[in-house]
Amino acid sequence: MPNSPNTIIAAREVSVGFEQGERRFTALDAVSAEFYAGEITLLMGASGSGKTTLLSLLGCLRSPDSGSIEWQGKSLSRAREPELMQLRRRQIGFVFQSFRLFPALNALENVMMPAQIDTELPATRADAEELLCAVGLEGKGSLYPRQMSAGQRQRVAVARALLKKPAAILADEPTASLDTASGEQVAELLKAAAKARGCAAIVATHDPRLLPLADRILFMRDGKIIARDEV
Amino acid sequence: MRLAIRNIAHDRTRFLLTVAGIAFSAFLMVFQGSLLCGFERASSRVIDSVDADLWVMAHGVQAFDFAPPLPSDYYGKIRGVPGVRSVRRMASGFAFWQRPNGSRKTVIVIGGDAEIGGMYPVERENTLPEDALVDTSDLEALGLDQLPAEVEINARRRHVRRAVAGFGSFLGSPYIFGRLSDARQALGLGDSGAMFLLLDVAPGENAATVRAALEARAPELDVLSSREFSSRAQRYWTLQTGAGGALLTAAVLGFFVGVLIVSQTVYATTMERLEEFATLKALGASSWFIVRIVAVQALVSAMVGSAIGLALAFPLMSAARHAISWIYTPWPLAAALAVATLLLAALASITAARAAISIEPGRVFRA
Ligand SMILES: Nc1ncnc2c1ncn2[C@@H]1O[C@H](COP(=O)(O)OP(=O)(O)O)[C@@H](O)[C@H]1O
Ligand SMILES: [Mg+2]
Repeated sequence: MPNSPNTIIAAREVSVGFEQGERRFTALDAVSAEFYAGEITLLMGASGSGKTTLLSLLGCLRSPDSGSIEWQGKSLSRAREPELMQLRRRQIGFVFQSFRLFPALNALENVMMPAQIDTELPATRADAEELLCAVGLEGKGSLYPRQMSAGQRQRVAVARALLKKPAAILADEPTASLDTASGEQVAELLKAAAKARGCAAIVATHDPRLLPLADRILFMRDGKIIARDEV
Repeated sequence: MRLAIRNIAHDRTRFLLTVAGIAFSAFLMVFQGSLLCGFERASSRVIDSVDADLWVMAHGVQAFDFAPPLPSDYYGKIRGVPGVRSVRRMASGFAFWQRPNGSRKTVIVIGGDAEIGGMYPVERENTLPEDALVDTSDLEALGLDQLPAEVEINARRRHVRRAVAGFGSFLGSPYIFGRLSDARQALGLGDSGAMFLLLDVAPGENAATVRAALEARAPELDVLSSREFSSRAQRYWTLQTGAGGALLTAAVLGFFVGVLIVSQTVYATTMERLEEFATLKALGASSWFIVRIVAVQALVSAMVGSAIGLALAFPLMSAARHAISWIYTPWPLAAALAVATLLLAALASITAARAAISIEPGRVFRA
């Protein structure tokens, strides 16, 4: 099956198992899916259904036990850590449930961190300030994470993820630590990232309030995709 | 490395604790090391102060402080060995010192030929018959609150007119310097006894040849270079006496305690930031990027800590000199300990960084 031209990431029959005591536990069972530029895909499912495990495969944070991940049409089954590291560095923006900002750096410096990690990234301080504006934090660049609300912190994290102009933005339960209003703001920002910047946005969540944002929804249970919805 | 510096500035309590741990270790290591070095230096102090090519003494003498007298005929016998330019004699031994107030103390009486030279504290022109020179740091122990004073050594009258510096007692028996004839009298050596013969080799003569000739002439004696006798005495005092053994053990333990504290604090500080390193890794940072942050953080703490530790050690050691006059810090010791602290901190941080860089980046998704 040829890739449609705007496929950013594809999972091909990926499986992951974990040793749990004596037994082997299957967290992902031959999952296949494609994720497209400019679209927001929700991974929905109860806790333990395998959403995070799938995200970490798509984000090159681990490799599947079998099956393969394709990035822009290229299989990663033989890729080694330096190549995966390059992908994470250049192509992937991450948003985490617990934000994972650096407490010693202020908001602007946190947004600039990807440029410290990747010295070839052509991102300027002005770009970072512009991103802070875009996430509604104009003039808050000098605040430290501890001086910000949870919603503000997550918006800094979204700005950080966007600095490198990623091909994909992967978010794991991005609204779970937020109240309703901030959750909606963050969800809108992720949608804007897909629509205005052409990212493939992949959001794992069990928050049904995100459903209206989605272009596609993958419902997971027990490590399998049990239903697919196109909106 | 902005993140490294900012992390230090951000978590000041942690930084201060790390610095305090390293400062204490540096202080402990330098203090214990200085006690050992000072003890070693004091144990060969008299030998090192004398300017002689070769020392001749009874067989098996381990230290300057304990030597049996040589039979008097060796003096002439050894002077006749070809290549020997000059021979001087020294006598030393334990004696009783009677303070002006009547109480007694054991001392070590040392007397030498007039022209001993080197850094030896007795000069001919300043030392009269029946003069006894004491070290400034021993004045109190000898019951002398003012000079000049009249004392008795083995029931013979002596005049203490002046004190010298740098020959403080390290075993509780002060050194008392004076003329050779006075020492012989006090030690009951008759008028030709001596414990040591100090030789100078004539210019142009090979010291090894002269030494071989001496050993052939008097095989029942020990002939040692100054350096050999010095290190023999240091080895004896450090390894074969309880006092030296205790100091050596304390210095070694102090070093290892220092090593442990430095590596523990640096390691713990690094491990505390493990989650940040996991985030960096997920964001695509290389291992080298993370190692650099870790190493910069550790080295800044180690430099500040060892600077503070050494800066505290020197004034405190000066203060301690009232009680421990022989404590001594050779600058290579301080430098070596500072370098060791930095290396250790780097090593501990890199060991901790190995844990940081080998963590599975997938853990960043855990809430
Ligand atoms: N590192 C791990 N070790 C062992 N089991 C794991 C690990 N990560 C996930 N699992 C298990 O895999 C299953 C799927 O987990 P996860 O992908 O986190 O689900 P979700 O994100 O949908 O809650 C769960 O049952 C979880 O206990
Ligand atoms: Mg999850």
